[in-house]
Amino acid sequence: MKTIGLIGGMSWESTAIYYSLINREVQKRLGGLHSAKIAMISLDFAEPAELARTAQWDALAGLLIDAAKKLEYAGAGVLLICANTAHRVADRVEQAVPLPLPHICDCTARQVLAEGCTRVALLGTRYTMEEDFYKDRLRANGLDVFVPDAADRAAIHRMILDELVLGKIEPESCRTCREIIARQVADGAQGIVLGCTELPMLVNAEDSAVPLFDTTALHALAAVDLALS
Amino acid sequence: MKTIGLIGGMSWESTTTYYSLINRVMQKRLGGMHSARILLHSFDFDDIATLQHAGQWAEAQSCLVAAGVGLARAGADFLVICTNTMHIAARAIEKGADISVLHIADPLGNAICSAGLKRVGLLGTRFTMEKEEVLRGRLTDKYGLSLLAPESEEAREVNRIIYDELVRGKFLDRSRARCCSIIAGLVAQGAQGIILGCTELPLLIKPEDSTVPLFDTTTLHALAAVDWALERP
Repeated sequence: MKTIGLIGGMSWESTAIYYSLINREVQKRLGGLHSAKIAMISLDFAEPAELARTAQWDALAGLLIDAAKKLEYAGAGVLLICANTAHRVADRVEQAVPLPLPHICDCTARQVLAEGCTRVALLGTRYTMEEDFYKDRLRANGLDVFVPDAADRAAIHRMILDELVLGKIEPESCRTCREIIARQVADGAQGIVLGCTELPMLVNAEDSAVPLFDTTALHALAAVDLALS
Repeated sequence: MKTIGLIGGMSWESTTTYYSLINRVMQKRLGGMHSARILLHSFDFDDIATLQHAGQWAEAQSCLVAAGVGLARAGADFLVICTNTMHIAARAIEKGADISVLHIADPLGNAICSAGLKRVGLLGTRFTMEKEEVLRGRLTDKYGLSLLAPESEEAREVNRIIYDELVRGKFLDRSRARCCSIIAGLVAQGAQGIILGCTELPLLIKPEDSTVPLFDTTTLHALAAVDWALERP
């Protein structure tokens, strides 16, 4: 079993989900008292959050590359960036260390296609929905991707950064999110990509008429596959 | 803020408790988007548990020392061993990695003394309940406490519940009831409080399961880690 290197803390809530999912899956596959070999760096979220807010992508890349090198040194055989937004600099991190770094979009797209969907709506932070890096990567995998309208994008971004990353789950936000999903389905979405590691805290399969793709879970399982292969 | 080095995975369930608690408290204390700076080395628990069962404590200790060295090199300012049992390795790690270890017995001893208690019951793995080098010695020598542990058959039962159930994520009502009656027995012998001296036990036993205060080593240890990260010079 390879050691899985996790670059986490963006936010810690979703890193805790990655850590639990990976361990539970390894326990299931190997049996006994087995758990995953994990090396993790959990950042003070205030720092990467500020770099993303002010679009200092070079500095964010530097921060993550530094973490990746430490994890490589600590013996990691595969690396995960435990956040969707931070995947904006994933290519640069991948180039800086000689380790497989499964991209969250590739893992997600594989599952979307496997379930027979091609047209999907993408929900996430403003950066994920509005900048090209995430949509382009999904499109490169053969998906037809669109995002909610400006008002809905603002609502989702606010729920993620003002509530979910602080561990707040508001019934009002759950309802808003359900309504936004319904509008995407009306616009032809065959599936919804939950492109933010916090969003599964807010909605689950019953909240949607079409399949939801939980990028956190798909990313975590891909890491287990690589670690055990 | 200092960087906290966690040696975890023993088991991963309780490491999740440490990780979440440390971050939640850090967020509350610093406000905004802040969270803790953490480095974690998480073991495949099967490796460590196999050595424990075979009585190969020196080998298990070497694994932890190596993890401690790695965390120190990666920039941890101090270490937290996320298990009671493996505190047997605390001194060796401190020496081998040349870094401070926040010993789980210290926040525990302080909490018990602050509550004004002297005589407390100790539940944990058999090793933790029997060996002086894990918690017992430090609690008696440094904090002047007198410790009561269950009789051998009950001790075996607590140990079995931990290794066969809790570390596998199984939480059974009949095991909770068994622990309650063992706790009641310790209270009848004069225990003024009960130490849940295994990081998995608080996942099963809750305050309402006992007539005397419970001391949850996981929570006390995690809170002390935040204090060290923010306040220790």
